[in-house]
Amino acid sequence: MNVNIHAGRRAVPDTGAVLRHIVNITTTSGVIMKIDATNNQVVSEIKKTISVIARIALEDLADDVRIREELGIDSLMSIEIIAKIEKRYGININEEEIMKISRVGEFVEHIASKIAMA
Amino acid sequence: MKIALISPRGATAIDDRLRSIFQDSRDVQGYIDSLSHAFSSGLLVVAALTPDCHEIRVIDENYDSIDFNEAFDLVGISAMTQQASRAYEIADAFRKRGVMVVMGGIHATVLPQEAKEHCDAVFIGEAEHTWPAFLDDLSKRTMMSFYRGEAAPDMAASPIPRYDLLNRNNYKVIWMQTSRGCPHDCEFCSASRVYGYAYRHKSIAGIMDELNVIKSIWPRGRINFADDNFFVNKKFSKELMRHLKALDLRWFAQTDISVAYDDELLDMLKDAGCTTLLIGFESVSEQSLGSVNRNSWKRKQLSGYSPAIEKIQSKGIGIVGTFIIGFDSDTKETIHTLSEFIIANNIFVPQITILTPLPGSRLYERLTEEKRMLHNPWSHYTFTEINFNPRNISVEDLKNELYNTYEKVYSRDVRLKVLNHFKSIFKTVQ
Repeated sequence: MNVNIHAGRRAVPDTGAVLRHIVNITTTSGVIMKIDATNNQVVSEIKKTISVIARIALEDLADDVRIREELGIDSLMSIEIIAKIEKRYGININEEEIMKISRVGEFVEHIASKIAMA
Repeated sequence: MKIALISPRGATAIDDRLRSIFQDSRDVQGYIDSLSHAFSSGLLVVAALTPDCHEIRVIDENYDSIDFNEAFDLVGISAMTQQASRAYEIADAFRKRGVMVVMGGIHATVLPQEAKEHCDAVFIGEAEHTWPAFLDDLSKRTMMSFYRGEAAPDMAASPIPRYDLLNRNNYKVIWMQTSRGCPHDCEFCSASRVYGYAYRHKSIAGIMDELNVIKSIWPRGRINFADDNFFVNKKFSKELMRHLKALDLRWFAQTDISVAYDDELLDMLKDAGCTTLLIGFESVSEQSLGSVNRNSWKRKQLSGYSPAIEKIQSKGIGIVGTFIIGFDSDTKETIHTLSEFIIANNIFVPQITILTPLPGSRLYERLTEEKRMLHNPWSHYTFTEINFNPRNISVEDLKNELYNTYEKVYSRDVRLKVLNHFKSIFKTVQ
């Protein structure tokens, strides 16, 4: 089944809170399915991976922080983060899509939605 | 005294066509990622050598404007060659207002008489001995026109640069020097003729103290080690890597290919926070490389380039590979071979520049003697402009080959190939 993913809304900045992460999946037949991708553990694992690879404290990974300009995460670090997550969850993340993302929240959300679909 | 220490605005190396090329691949890998305005570390050392009784303002003209009517008692300017034209404009403007101006840095060091036409005193070489002597002379009103650093300063005794004087919000990448001197006598290099070929470094404790100062100002900052050749003394480098590991930093350094020949050192880099290494490959033409060093060191490495690149990048470290076009033996064909090499070897960030005869270099002397210099203003010495008559290719064709090479190695397909190559690597490295 080919699907397009649209994040339902942005995740809230406080990672300790329960994230309600609704992902809209549009199938090739045009049916829109709503998937609740809420998963604190996944989000915290993604953020931990970013924190370890980019050597940035977890508390600095607020959702509205800019990945390149504020955290200094370049394309090499981004691809390392993607590779580790792909390996951990057995998923595939499109490099071009992820490189276009500028803020932490959208980055985490994009990956979480891929994991939710897997 | 109220002292202004000024780093003049740099000439832009990226014209509209290059900007357009990099923009096209911006989403798949930013070449611009790898660039950052470097502040003048030398001025921060000068500030650290200045007694506290003086008030110092550091002005980086890439970010801050200069108020020529501000009441400075002394203006110090440090410039590289591409900044020299602007440095002279600034110096002239202050002197017109009766302000004393002194100049240092690499350009004033190699062309002191030229610099002297625009200022009251010129600093030749490193500042550690000369700046305190100048301040002493100034207080006694016995100032000289030239201050020459005769002996190479002991870097272990060099003070921590005054990073606190920078506007911290301007910089995400912090340039820091741990050593001076490079054993390679490259014909195009002027730095070696200023700092000498003997390698000198700061102490481990001094480096750690300096890094802790930087971390206190920029907790998320990335470090670019500005040393011309970071791993000259492998034993010292390994000791440094052990200490860097504890600081949890991300850093970049410039080195030569010999880092690939030391497995123990190579294995330590990523843990120590190294993300990227800049390596000056210069060329993949045996003839061109043969002209670089008197002892042909770089030519002798050529057969090892591909395995060395693979070995370094297999550790998860991206190579910023720097290449020069415009050597006497370069033709359109050799430049095409270069782009094929870059693509085949998945070099993370290729950087191609035009051979540039920097004043102070042996290349400058040779091309002047051969009457091949184009006598452009110093603001053209950006490494993407052509400042001499090439031997086997026209000026126009050489410039076009620069664009063509960048277009090839920064095409979307090539950048995606490189990213996928690194994705595979990162799935295997710990």
